[in-house]
Amino acid sequence: MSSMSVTRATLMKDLRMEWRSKDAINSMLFFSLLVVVIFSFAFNPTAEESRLIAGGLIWVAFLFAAVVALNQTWARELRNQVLDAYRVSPAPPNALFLAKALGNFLFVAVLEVLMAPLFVVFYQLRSVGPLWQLVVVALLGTWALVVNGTFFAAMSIRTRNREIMLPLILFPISIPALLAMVDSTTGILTGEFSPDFWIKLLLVYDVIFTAVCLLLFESVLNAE
Amino acid sequence: MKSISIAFIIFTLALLSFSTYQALVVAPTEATMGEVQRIFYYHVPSAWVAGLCFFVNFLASITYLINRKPNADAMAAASAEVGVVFCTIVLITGPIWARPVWGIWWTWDARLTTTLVLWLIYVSYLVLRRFAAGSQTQVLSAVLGIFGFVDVPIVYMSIRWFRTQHPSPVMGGGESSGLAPAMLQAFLWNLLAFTCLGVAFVMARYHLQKVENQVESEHAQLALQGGTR
Amino acid sequence: MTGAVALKVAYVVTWVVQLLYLRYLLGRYRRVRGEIKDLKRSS
Repeated sequence: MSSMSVTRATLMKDLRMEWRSKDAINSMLFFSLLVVVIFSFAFNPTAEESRLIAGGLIWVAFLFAAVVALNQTWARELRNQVLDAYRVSPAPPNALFLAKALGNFLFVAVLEVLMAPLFVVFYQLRSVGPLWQLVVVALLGTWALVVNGTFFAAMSIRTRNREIMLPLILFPISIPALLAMVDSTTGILTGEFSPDFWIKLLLVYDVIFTAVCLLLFESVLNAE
Repeated sequence: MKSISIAFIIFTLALLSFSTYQALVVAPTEATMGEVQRIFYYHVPSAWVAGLCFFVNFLASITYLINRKPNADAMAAASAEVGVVFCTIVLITGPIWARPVWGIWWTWDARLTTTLVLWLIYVSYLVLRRFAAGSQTQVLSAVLGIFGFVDVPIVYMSIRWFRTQHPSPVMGGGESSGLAPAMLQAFLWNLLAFTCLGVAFVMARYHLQKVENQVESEHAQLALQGGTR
Repeated sequence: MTGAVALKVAYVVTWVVQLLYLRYLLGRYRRVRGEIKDLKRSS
């Protein structure tokens, strides 16, 4: 069984199951919405101010929503002893990891697309800088969160308090990526400074940690 | 082994007394900041020891994943814990320094913020060690130890860039402040003394971990044999 | 807080932290020594 076919099969299965139940996407959406509304009570920004704080706000909302998705990444596999079956099968473990990471990436990306108009409406958001740069930041940033998040989710299911363990170990390591996402978004929205360095940093972060995740996933899968 | 340890501890304590004397008495008073600058002789060596400990944790984690020897894991556990202790000292002495100099406790200054993030990463490592399920603790911790240390240069670069873009007061005299030779002497003595202290703590914690592992495996053996004989 | 006071506080806090950690280590040593004694007794 080749890596790519395993990845594609697993990914398709996850997407199909999610499409049928829409569990993850619904809870993520609702959670994001709640975060946005609560923040609106906390700050009451003018259009100018909203551009300054939107960067942080958007990514905090997406981060929390992503954790919702990440926490259930392996739940189904765990329930049905799929992980054990996977361990003894000849299929390469990285194929499984990539499928899960890509699935999560798609879920969070869909969330971002659905939430974007909401941010525009609630905060009268209009970007001074080019929109395509926002898309690049969103893609790189989402992958940064999701690749480490999927990996750490696999680790945290082996702990006694798995739901809180995931954000606890994910957030500190994600801080440079979050800083890059937030500051570059602010830079693009306000048009006041260039996000170039941040985009490069996100790219470096993504490459390094994707490599580390692929290198070490097998150890985690077989940890017993 | 035991007599060497005791000799080393006594040596370390003597060294620390001497280096503290150097810091408080011998080193000249700094022109702009005054006496409070002497915190530097404790603050910076602590940061160095913390960094050294985290590096040892990185090496021990890699070693464990390669050869799965429990001693490697014991060293990883020891170095992370001692590293967090010294990191805590950096995070407390930094604001104590800043308060009389800048009138504020914290400014998200590049070096202190990087230290804070490092502290968060390795505290999360210690939390994982505590809550991982038994036999998997070692592998999971080793993996997180590798992730954490790989992140360190990225954390450093990102925060430095952030602070370049959005400047704020710098704690501890800034990048360009040089050290007068008399100050350098006090600094180096404290660097040596704190490193020895760090080594002493790591070795003690390492030994403790090995003993605990042994006791645990004996308990497991007893359980397999069906309880107390 | 003046500079001189801050200096004293910083040095004292450093040693307090070290001593607290030492106390924690000694506590764990004491516990494990107790466990060894129990093991020896039951074998």
